[in-house]
Amino acid sequence: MRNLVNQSSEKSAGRVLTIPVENRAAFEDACARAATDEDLRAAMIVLVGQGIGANSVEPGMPATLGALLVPVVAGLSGQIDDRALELALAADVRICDSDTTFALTAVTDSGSGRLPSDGATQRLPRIVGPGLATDMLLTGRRIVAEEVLRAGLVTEICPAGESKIRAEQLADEIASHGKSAGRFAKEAVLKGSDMPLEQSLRLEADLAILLHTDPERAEGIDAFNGRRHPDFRQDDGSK
Amino acid sequence: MTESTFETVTYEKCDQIAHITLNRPEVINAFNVQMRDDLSEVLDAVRWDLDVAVVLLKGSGDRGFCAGADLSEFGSSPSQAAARNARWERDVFGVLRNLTVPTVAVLHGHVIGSGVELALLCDIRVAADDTVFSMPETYYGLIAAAGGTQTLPRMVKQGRALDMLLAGRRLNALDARDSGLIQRVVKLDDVEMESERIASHLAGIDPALSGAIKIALATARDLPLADGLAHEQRLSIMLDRGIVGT
Repeated sequence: MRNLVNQSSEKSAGRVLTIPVENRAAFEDACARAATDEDLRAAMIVLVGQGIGANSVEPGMPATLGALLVPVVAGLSGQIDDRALELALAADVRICDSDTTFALTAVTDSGSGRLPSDGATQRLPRIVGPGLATDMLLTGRRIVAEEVLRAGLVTEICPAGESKIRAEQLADEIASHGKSAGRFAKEAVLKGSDMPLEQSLRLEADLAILLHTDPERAEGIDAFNGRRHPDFRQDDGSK
Repeated sequence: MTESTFETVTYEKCDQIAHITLNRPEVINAFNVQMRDDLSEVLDAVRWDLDVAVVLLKGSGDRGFCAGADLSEFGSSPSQAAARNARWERDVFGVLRNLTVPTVAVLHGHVIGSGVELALLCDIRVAADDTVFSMPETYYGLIAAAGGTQTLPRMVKQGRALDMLLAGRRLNALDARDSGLIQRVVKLDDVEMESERIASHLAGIDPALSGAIKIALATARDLPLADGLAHEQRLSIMLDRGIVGT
């Protein structure tokens, strides 16, 4: 499987998969690999938004991306509109260029006036809160990077043109962490968000206990106690 | 004034304000089994003490509030089943979260891992301007296990929580305030005074009322809106009738 994944960085070789978004077949193929490659520690998408109606994101792509257990980083630039935004919302950590803008035009577009069907009405309020989500959906207002940073849609604004490189760095960072730990942390946050707090705390605790079987946990604790950096490369043969 | 000193925690009660201080400053108050047991004993006492109206949770020493779990003790559980039982048998985090009186986390310096989680189990967080927050568990092949994967996204929104938990992003005091993780940032020299001021204010509220507000807010988090509204109304009427009053 190793030759199939992103080789952009020696550190992350075999551990980070860049999922292409320009071509549906290639996207589905990469997502299928991301779903089955147990060596994978992070995935990333790079979205260069072309504006209203001009992006290559097709119906169903956000659902495919959102189903992945592996953490997904999204680097965003350009005009991230409609389905491109819905795809970005299906990632876990989002960052953007300083000149990136965001809009949901489906409802207000006089030509179509359709209801978004790839998660905008569900993921957006969960990520930015109901106020901004309703504003964007009903008015079609275009918002800028600073506003989405404040709202929590992205967690970092990069100088123009640098979000792709920064997304790679973040994916590398995640890939240097525990493999099961990253997947379980993602699962705990996403699944737990739909539960009453009490129940969600049980989920977290059970996942934490399940991690006791993970050799990487033992390596991490040993590294901490030995005041060294953990080395999680042994188990997937990339050392 | 009441004062008790445990191996890893000090407890002081003064004018209805319970001061609980994590006290292992040589390791930035790293949370170990002894601290869990000491804190459990203190919180059990506080829970039933009708003379306590507010709790302040602090960390001793200059370096920070809490550096997280003491990993030198990790892996010592005989089995997964035993570890799972131990987690719920002495659920110190649950006791803290379910206290009926208002709780205030008073933060400074390093607030790492379970330090963040302890703070998130309190009702209000005030931090010195030198405070830095981080959740590095996945870096060590671990996940948060004192509620952090649940309390953090509920406080700072999902994307920021995932960034902190997956990529290990750190937040300084101002970022933490802007994210909603903490509510107030004050100068390091003023943090003691500010927390006392908040505590005095909270201690002046009828404990039945502050307790009802805590219950109502927990309801808002977990119940459908219609059920939450009905619950709020019942609580309000019961308080007005003195059914839940002092």
